[in-house]
Amino acid sequence: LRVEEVQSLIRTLNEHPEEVERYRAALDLAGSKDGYVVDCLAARLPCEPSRVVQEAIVSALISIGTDEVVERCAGLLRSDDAYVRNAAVEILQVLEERSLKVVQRLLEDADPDTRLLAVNVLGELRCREAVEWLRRMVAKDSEVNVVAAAVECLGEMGLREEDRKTIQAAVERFQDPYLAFAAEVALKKMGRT
Amino acid sequence: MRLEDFIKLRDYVYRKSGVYFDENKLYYVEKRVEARMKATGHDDFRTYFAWMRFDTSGREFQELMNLLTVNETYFFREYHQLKCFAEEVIPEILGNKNGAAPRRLRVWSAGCSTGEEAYTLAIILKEMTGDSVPWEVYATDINTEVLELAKVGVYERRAVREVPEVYLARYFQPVGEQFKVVPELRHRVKFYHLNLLDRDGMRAMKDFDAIFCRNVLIYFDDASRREVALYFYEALRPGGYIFLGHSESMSRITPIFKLKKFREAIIYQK
Repeated sequence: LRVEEVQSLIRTLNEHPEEVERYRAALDLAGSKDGYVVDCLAARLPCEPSRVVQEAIVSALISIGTDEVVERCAGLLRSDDAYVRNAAVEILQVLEERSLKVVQRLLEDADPDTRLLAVNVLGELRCREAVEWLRRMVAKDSEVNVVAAAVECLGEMGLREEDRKTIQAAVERFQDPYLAFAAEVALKKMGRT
Repeated sequence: MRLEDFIKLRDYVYRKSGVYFDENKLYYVEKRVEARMKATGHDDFRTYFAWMRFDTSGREFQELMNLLTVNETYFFREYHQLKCFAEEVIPEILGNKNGAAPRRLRVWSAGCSTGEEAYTLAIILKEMTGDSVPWEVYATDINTEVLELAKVGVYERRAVREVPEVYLARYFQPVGEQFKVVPELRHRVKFYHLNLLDRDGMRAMKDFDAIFCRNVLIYFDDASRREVALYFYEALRPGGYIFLGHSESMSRITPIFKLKKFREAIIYQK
């Protein structure tokens, strides 16, 4: 895309009254890898009134798929809007390898809600490190909801005896009924030895 | 296969593809998983699942999906959906004209393969409208070889086994052991080569009342599936319908379509 085209598409995305025009502009912006375009798309996502245009923005961000997209999505995880947070999780999941470093950082975030969303991203990844990180979250995280989410993911992805022991230790540590339930389901999925 | 193993696989397949298997499909799934385990040298479900789950190429997942969703295509397949289209959707669309002159009904069979679905839709439209309303069926596929076969319109007996006798007599000519779609119907279905991810090609598809894309999106990855769903949205008229396979879920792909409950089926609507 030429600079003038990008400028015109961004104007359309931000200002055009017709949903279909904004939607098309969002999809067309996927043809640019420019960091400025990523900033504009990510900035528009939370304030765009049309869900269809929002979905086009998500599609464009996935298609662009650069490190800038990952960074902007990390920021969007803190949005007040559940749709935006979930969209950011989904983009990070799809971008997978490119997301790894950022997700690892988010697992250490002071905000438990952000850590929980980072765990949700981990739950869809296909790299073996994800299991290691999930196990660490189950063993170390101080927030029971974060641990329960990690336990759920580990139920699908874990395989080793160590994973089972880590889950059982977390149940002992928190004495929380929901975590106990999540652990039971996860252990069943992992298969008892 | 233990129930826990089935649920673990079922949940994963649903998240990744939108295809859902009830517990009464355990045996069906088990047989296919066993076939894939044998083909890949795994004798234990858990190690096979982990291997498939962490295969970054996604190839094994696709192989498994191909086996789980293998379906020969035939006329009047998923009859309850077609009944819904014929008896509920078409009258609703025609009833929405508000006294205006009849407009052209436009239906698209996306991923039409050898044309069975497209011709089925043509039969339904002809029967339901009595040609009192102009209608057209567009049928597209990425594979040019299947499109050539579709245009010829000759089918084995098993492909027409669900066609009601009266329609078989009306819309097919026997050719030896096979059945050829009558010229009138063949001329009214427009077959085109189209990649569902080709933005320009998809934008040329517009003003459809209904799109049938059954058991096609399962072969796309998450990102592509959303992109195709967005193109479908744009291609539909306001209030238009999209028909997916009975075990597929659009809600797993994008929230932009509404669910509409009919007597015979639940259909996604723009």
